[in-house]
Amino acid sequence: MTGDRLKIQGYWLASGILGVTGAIMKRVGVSGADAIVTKSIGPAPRRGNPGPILATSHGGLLNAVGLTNPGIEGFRDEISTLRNSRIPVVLSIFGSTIDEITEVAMKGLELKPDAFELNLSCPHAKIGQIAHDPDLTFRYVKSVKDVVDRPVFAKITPNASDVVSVAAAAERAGADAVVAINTVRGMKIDIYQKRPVLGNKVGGFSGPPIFPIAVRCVYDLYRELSIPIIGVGGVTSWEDAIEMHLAGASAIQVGTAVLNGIDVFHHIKQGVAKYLHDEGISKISEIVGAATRS
Amino acid sequence: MDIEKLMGTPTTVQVYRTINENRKARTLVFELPEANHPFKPGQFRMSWIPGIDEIPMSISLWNPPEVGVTVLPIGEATSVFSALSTGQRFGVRGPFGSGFSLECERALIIGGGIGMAPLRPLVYQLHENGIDVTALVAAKTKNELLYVDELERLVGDGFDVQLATDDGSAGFKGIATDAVREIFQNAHYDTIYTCGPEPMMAKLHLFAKEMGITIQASLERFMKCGCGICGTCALDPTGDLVCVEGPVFTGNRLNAIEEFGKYHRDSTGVKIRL
Repeated sequence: MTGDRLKIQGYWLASGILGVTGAIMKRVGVSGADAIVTKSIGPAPRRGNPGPILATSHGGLLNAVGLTNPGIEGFRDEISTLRNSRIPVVLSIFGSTIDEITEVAMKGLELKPDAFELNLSCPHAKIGQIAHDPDLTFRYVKSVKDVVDRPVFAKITPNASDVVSVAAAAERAGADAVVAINTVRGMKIDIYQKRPVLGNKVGGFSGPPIFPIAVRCVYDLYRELSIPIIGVGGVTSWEDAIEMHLAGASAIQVGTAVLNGIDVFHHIKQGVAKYLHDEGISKISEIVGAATRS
Repeated sequence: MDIEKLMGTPTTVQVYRTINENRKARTLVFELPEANHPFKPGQFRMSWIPGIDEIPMSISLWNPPEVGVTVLPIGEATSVFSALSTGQRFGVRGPFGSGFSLECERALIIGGGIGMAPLRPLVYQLHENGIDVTALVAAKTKNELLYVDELERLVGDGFDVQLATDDGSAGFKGIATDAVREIFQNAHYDTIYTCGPEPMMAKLHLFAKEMGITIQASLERFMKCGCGICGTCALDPTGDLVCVEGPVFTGNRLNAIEEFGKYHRDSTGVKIRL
C-alpha cells in the first residue's frame, strides 16, 4: 500500500466527469478537488456510444457516454501529467472479463496511481451486470487485489436488488473501500420525435434527484461493512455533503454538480468547514455514520 | 442547480426552409421558440440528428425567430443532417461557448471553407455596431466559397469583401494567409477574427503576433457533451474546455495552448497530429 498521499477523506472528482486528459484533471485538482478519479479506462481505445450522450429529466442528468477511453496504454501520458502536479489520482478501470480487468490493473500499476477504483457497474455498457451479483463482484475484486499493491475501491450500483450483499462480497475479497453509488438506470423519450433521446436509449441517471437513493445506500452499507464508504450520487452542496457523511461516507465524490462549475469543490469545503465550526465539531470523522446510531 | 438550463434546454425543432449555399453546403433554417435567449456570434448548439448522432454546429444565421446552421456533408452525421428537408425534425440544445468579443476598431474577418459559418453573424453584428469590416472568404476552390453573393450585396460604406482560392478560380490565388499579407499592404486592421482549418488559423496567429494586433480564432475539437462535463474537448496544457472557455480564443490564450496548430484528440481521446 502506498496510501500516504491519498487518505479516504475529503471531496473528490467522480469518475466519468472531465477525467479524460491530464490537463483538465489537473485543473480540477487545482480548483479544489482533494483527489481525482479518472474516467474508466479499459484495455483498448473505445469510442463509446453515438450521441446524444446526454439528456435531462426531472431535474437530473441522463448520460450514456459508453466508456469512451483511449485504452490503458494511451492513457499513460495523461496520468503522468496529472501525477506531476502531486494531486492524488485514483485510476478507474473496467474490463469485460476477470482476465481483462486484471490485465488492465497490472498495466495500470505502471502508471503509479494512488489507488484503483473498479467500475463494476456502468449502467449503459455491457459490464454493468458485475455488481448485481455478489459472487462475480468477489471474483473481480479478489483478482485485482491479488496483483496490485495499492488500495482497491469497488464501485457498486444501486440497480442491484441487494446492494449490501454485493458490497459485503467486495469487502470479503479485500476491497479497501466501497464507492456507492453509480448512476441509476433510466430513460428519456422525446415526445415529438417519439423515440428515446440517448443514442444508447438507456442511460445512467445522476444529479440531485438521486441523492436520497445514494444516502439510503450509504446508510445501509455503513451499518454492515467495516471498510470505509466513499459516498457519491447527487451531492451538489455542503449540506448534501454533511448529510452523506452522517449516513456513513468517509469521503465524497462529486460528479454532475461540476456542470455548474469546477469551483464546486471549493464551495463544498468552505460550507463544511463553517458547519463544523458552528456545530463545535473538531473533525469530519466524528460525524461519519453518526445518523446510524439513533 | 438548473440542469436543464446548464445542458442547453433541449428542444425539438422543425426544418422551416433550406438554402443551398454552394454545391455541397446547405443551411437549415428553423424556428426556435426560445430564440430570445441572448446569443453571441461564435456560439454553437449541439444538434441531434435522430438515430445518427449529436454534433456541435455553429449558428450561421441569427434572425429570431429564424435561426440557421450551415452543414457541410463530410461524415455520416453531417450527410444525413444536410439532407433533411422542410418539415423534418431534429433536436437542438445550447447556445454554448464564449463567442467572439466585439471590441475592435477595424476588423478583418477570415473564413476558410465551412469556417465562414460562425463568422456570418459576426459580420452582421460588427457592421451593425458601425465597425469597419473586411471579410475574406477563402476556400480550396470557387464552388466551396460561402455566402459570397450575399456578402457582395452588403459591400459599401464600412464593408468590403475579398475572395481567395487555393487554385485561383476566384479572387486571390493562393492560401488565405498570403492573401492577408497582401490585404495588409494597403490597409490596417486592429483585429483579426478567424475560423477554418487549424493550420490556417495557426499561421494567422503568427501573423497577428508579427503585426502586433489582436486575433480571435474559433477552434474545433471532438465534443460529446457541449456543456463542460465530459472533458473530451480539453486543451493541453491549460485544460481549457473548447465548449465552455472556447470555442473562441484570443491570441494571448492561444500562446498558452501548446496543442494549437499541432495536434488534437480523436473520439477515444488518442492524440492525432494535425
